[in-house]
Amino acid sequence: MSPFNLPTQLRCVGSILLDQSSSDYFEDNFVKGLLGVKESNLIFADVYKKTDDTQQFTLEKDFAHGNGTRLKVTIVGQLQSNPHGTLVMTNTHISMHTWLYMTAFMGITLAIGLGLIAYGIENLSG
Amino acid sequence: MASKTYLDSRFNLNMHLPWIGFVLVLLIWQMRLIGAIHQFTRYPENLLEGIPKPHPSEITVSPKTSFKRDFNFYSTDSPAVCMKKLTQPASKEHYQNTTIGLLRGISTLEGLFIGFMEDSPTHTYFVIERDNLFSRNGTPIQTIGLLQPEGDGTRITGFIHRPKNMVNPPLYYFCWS
Repeated sequence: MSPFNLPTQLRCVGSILLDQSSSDYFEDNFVKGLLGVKESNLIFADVYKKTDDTQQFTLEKDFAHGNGTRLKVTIVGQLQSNPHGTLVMTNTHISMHTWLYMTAFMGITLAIGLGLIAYGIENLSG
Repeated sequence: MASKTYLDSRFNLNMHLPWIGFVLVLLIWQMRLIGAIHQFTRYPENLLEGIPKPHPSEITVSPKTSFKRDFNFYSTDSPAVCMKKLTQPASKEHYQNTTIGLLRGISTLEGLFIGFMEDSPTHTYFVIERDNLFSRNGTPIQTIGLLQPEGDGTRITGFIHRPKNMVNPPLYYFCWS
């Protein structure tokens, strides 16, 4: 993500980000849960001071469905004070577990889909 | 009695329908997940730079909404006193990204967030909704109201509703970005 500048003061930006921690509040529903609509809204936010002009922040969200699976995505960024306000730099980290889980799921879906197509072509072509 | 076609005998679609459905469900799930992750990567930018939010007066509620109640009443207190009454008992001030924008407001002991937006010296909008920071649960009900001076008191108008995005977000919500 490219850095962006805000006219807001460093302390205020840090405070806004820190206040983004939230608990899960989406309701569960079996059918929607099956489709994966239920999403945990839990966000972990942390901001800490590195120097007088620099703060580092972490925003972490778990895209799991609450069944023991963890699909964590973390945004790590830096806030830097400058004469015009605050420069925000962000970097997204997707955990190895999340990558593996998504790749495995994609593989299974493709395998089943291709298998069905192959079976269909074979039987339809006679 | 209808005779079986060549297609029916070679490829029984009904037999494979559950598999096709299963693949579609998996595809939808993956699209949703990728959309949600992509949206989250833009979260700091959207939050801090501010996604354009509708003006409170432009917010309308769909007639299909399961719950909506309008209110319009008069208080003999001044707008400043009404605001003070609304924010008690308060525990902590913090920022929350609400329907009408990022507001600095108050957390109440009931797990509610109350934020004010001064539109003009005579128009102060307020939002009361679930406190994302401190509330562990609670009914996702939202109040959007307006405080206007009237005579020696205040006219308070607005509505209470159950916003869709606070219950189950629709599927396309995660795929748009």
